[in-house]
Amino acid sequence: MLDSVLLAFIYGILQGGAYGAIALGLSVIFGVTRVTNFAHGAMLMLSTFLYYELYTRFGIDPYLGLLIVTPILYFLGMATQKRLITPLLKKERGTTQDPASLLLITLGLGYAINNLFMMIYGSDYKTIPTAASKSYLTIEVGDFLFTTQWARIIAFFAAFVIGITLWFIINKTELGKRIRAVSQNRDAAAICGVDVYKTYAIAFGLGIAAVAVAGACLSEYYFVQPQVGTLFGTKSFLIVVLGGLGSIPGAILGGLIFGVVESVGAQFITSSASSMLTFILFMIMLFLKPSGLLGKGGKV
Amino acid sequence: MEEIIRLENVTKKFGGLTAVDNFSGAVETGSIVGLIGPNGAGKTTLFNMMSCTYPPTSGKIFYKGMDVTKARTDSMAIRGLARTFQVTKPFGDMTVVENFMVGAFLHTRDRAVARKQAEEIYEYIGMGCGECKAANETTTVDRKKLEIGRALATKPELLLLDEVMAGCNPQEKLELVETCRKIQKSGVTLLVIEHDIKTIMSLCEKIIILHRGAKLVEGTPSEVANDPRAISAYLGEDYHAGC
Amino acid sequence: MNTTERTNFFQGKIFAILGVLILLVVPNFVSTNVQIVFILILFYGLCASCWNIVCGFVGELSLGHAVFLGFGAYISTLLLMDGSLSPWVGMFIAAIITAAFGVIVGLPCFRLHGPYFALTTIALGELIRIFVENNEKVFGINIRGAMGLVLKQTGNQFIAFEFANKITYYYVLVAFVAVTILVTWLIKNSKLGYYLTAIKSDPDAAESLGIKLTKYKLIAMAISCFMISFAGTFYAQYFRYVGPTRIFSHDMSVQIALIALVGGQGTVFGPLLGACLLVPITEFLSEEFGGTMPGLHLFIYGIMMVLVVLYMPQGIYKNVTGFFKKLEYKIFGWDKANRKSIGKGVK
Repeated sequence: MLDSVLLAFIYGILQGGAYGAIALGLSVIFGVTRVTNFAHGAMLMLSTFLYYELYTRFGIDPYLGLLIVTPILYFLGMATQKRLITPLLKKERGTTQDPASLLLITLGLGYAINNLFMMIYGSDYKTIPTAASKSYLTIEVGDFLFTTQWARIIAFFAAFVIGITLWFIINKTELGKRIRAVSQNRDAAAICGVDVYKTYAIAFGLGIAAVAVAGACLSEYYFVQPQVGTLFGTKSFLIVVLGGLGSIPGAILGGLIFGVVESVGAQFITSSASSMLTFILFMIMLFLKPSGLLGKGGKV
Repeated sequence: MEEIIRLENVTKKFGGLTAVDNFSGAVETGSIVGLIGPNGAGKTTLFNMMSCTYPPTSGKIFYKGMDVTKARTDSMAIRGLARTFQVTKPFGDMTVVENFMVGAFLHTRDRAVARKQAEEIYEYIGMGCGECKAANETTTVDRKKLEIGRALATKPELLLLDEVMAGCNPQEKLELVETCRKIQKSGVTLLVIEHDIKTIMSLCEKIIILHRGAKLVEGTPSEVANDPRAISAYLGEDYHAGC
Repeated sequence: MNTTERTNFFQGKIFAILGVLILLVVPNFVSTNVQIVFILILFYGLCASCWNIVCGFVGELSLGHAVFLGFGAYISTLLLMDGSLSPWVGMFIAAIITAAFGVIVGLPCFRLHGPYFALTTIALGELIRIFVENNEKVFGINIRGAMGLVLKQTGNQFIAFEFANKITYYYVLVAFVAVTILVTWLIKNSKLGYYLTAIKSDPDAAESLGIKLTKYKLIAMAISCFMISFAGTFYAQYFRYVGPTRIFSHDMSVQIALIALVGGQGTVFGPLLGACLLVPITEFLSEEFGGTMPGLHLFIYGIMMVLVVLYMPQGIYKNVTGFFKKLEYKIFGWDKANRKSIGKGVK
């Protein structure tokens, strides 16, 4: 019994790493621009389809495809910010504020992207049968055999690589200084000569680029399908709120907790019922400490 | 004279910052009291505690003899305390008269009654366009008047005015002073935060000067004007030495 | 007040009256397929109107309203199947339970704002869906899990809320919509409506004027849940089937919200107008291309949402009514003085 729980725990940690990797971009975007990007899942799904196309047409492994897809998604993210969100922010500076519009526009965008791919590809499940997805790591844990695809292990470590990279960009570079300035006080930053909207666009681009990297890791072992975005998008939100909106370590921590709760929970109840646990966990968190585990506090 | 509101040893801390430090004071029913002090002296924090936006860290607040330290903001309005906001908060999608109606609904369910009262207040306060959207009231004085009118519509006994004259020209200030006097005559107690010393000296019967969260001086305008501590707080510690 | 404005009751309303007449009369003279579209328009219009009562007025975005729709459908249907209670009675019991549930849910949720509120409602919706899909029985009541509830066809029975032809269903729905619109209108023109609009504009200022924020939000929530529960009962009786995967779905919640938002949140007729625009388009598209391009109609919903937020943040209601008023003046040539007073509001 204990062994199976331990095993589930390890699987959960691995899956949680992947969740964290996906949630990171969302957290960064919120931290800088205060936009809750409801199109995040759709962007993830879009990237996995790009990897799928690259693999089926040119035989490019998603790990290599990263080099092509990440820049594309970076510019897509920038375009989203520039064309859709910046006009709203500029309008907001007028008399009445309507933060709901930011939420709605990303919701609409996500809906459009998801269903665009549904139209093109249908709802069939596709896989990318790469080397990493077919080679397994096997370790003995007590009486059990711990077996997992190498792709999952890579995805787990990718979370940390993405997290550290984002942290480094934001905290240690000249660009990061601008990003931090803008996220703390956009008017003050503007006075100091920072192009606020351009910085927002870069931050949004970075967040989407991060999800493209996560998408590469995910597409190595998970289905490629239009509704995958909604599934992971919703989870990312719960994770990011749990860990603290805007916090990089919080996103990874939240992801790990989610992975473990889902996986260990499934040992005791059915797996779909165990995903209920995560929703309950999320709601309890919101009502007790809305700023999340590692969030900085403040009013919600 | 009876006291409408009384604060006893009120302290408010935000993290490490002490915004209000052991403040005690009272406002007598029917009077008009000015609260002045440099920026960051804790004036608005005091207002927020009186209107129960947040409770003090320590100390007690009594409204008409009742302990309201931990009361809710909305219950204070029902008890007869109304306030304006330094940064005006109009209900932008509504017309000016409709803004007043929201206040008037405190004492009635009837829309026609609320409308009638709102229109009376609109006449009383004397401002621009009553049927225009509140968001379109662009002049500062009209926005301030909107705040006053909306608070008045709740039929308050104590009205807290937070810098209603800031940003107005001298002519408009005179007009607002007249409005304040008119309100006082109708039986409402006024507590006014203001920066313009001249205006407040002419308007108020009693003045309290706040400095770094604590009460520095309290007295009639002439007493305050001649108090060396008041002069040093406003003109700097070195003012006398320089002379 | 401008007295000339009241010279003619119909002035400025001709196209609105025409629209209502179309909704009332035309379904009598069209094929069953078109009648189905009309029913869907009113059904979604009804749901969106109910959503609007709480979200449109309070300004919080609920993306879990399908939960309450599902509650209404499930409770009234279970009462019919297991208790042999006529849906006409059952729907009121369902409405009361749903409203109570809405209040219980609203109590913690309304402490949250913006994205946090929206996310919580999404989580709640998903939670309920997964729960119902995975449980055959709740408190000894057989809810039949993911299978859903299937109502037997018994023929044309008024008492059982079952009719032989679509048009009867349609007129039942017309009555529901009329009541909901009336309720919305009454709210908008009452203390409650003014208070909700104030809360939406500035909660701090509203509170300082003596408005109990939570109380009024919960009243709106209760009314909204009460009304949408009727839509749920209708859904169950009309389709003769309630399945958790559809009725509790995230898509359903989003669709309801989008229709209301595109139409015009906080307005009386906006949500219905939104349904009149979106439902026919999407029904036509999924009829034409549904086989080859699944998701096309939802794609349109998404695009519409983006366009409306960018170019008509208040929803299409204002623009559409403005357009028809202008058209009316052109056709009937009302005098110009009147036209100004209508355009700007009374000064």
